[in-house]
Amino acid sequence: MFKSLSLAYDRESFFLSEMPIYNGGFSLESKHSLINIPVSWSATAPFKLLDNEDPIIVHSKRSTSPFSINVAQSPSSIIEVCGCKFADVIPLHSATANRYCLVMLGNTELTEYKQIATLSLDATVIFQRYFEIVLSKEADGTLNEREIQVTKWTAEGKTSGEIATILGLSEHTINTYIATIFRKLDVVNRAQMVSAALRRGLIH
Amino acid sequence: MSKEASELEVKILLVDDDPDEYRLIKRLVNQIEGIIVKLEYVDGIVSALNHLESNTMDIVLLDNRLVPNNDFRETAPQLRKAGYVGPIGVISSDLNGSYFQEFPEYGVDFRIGKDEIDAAAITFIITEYTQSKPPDECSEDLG
Repeated sequence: MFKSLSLAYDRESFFLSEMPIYNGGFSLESKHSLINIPVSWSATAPFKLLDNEDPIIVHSKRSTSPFSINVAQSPSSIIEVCGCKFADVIPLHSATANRYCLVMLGNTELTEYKQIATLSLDATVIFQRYFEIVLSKEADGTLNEREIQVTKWTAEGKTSGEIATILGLSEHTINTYIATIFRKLDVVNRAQMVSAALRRGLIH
Repeated sequence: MSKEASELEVKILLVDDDPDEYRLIKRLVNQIEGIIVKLEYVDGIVSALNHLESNTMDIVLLDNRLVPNNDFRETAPQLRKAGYVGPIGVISSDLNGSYFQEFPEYGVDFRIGKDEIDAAAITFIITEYTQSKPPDECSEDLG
């Protein structure tokens, strides 16, 4: 839906990320980031971490109003990397009071504030749905029954193929479950996954 | 023409009691470029189980209703019980039954309508289920 929104407003790419609570950069590598940019851009330093001086960050921290940036007037490292001339920045917030920022990049300017306001309204509606379906479930760190089964068998030292045989599923499905569990528990490998699940009492 | 060294080779087992479906899908897989698809065919779940005992298949395409079985909820678990952990896709002329929503619980990876199957769809399925590797972090690291 975010992609459809960016196409509707003639934007080439977008990214959504959680705003840092304290001073610190805006990382697109955080687990709740959603990005639709070429891989070559995301590998660059500005995309890995926007610093506090970047106009996108400066304005997003100061205001909850949407705004557009013209790179000619407000140089931004991230906009320069992608070669776009304009960025629409839409501050968002979740029901859990976490702040997010949606940035849409393109080469045409939204000249009227009404356009930006409409874009912001559409983005807010989509974000609320995204939060309900994805972010809220991932943020609370709970696992469904299947995910708990996969975690338990991983704790027993079983491989994905073995777990697939035990649960009567495919190896592909097991790996998908594991990737989801990693996101939910905010871990990066199976050892951490088991450790985090034990610590939280999800498995015994 | 000599086979490119890097050309991908995939073995698909079609389980369908209608041999015409095999001929139809065979024609479609022949249109796929860049992937050598070896389509093998059996006409029932028992034959499929026998086939899988002695052959390694990358994907199984399973007809939803295989006489005398009811639907995939009876047949897919039999393949899983036999130890097949590769992808299973259910093909059907009608995907509207509400029970199709439950397909993951029966060990099925995807469902596809017979009218949706073409060379592009098969190529996508092959890429998604045999070529897309799990994220690096999913690699087995407890060994």
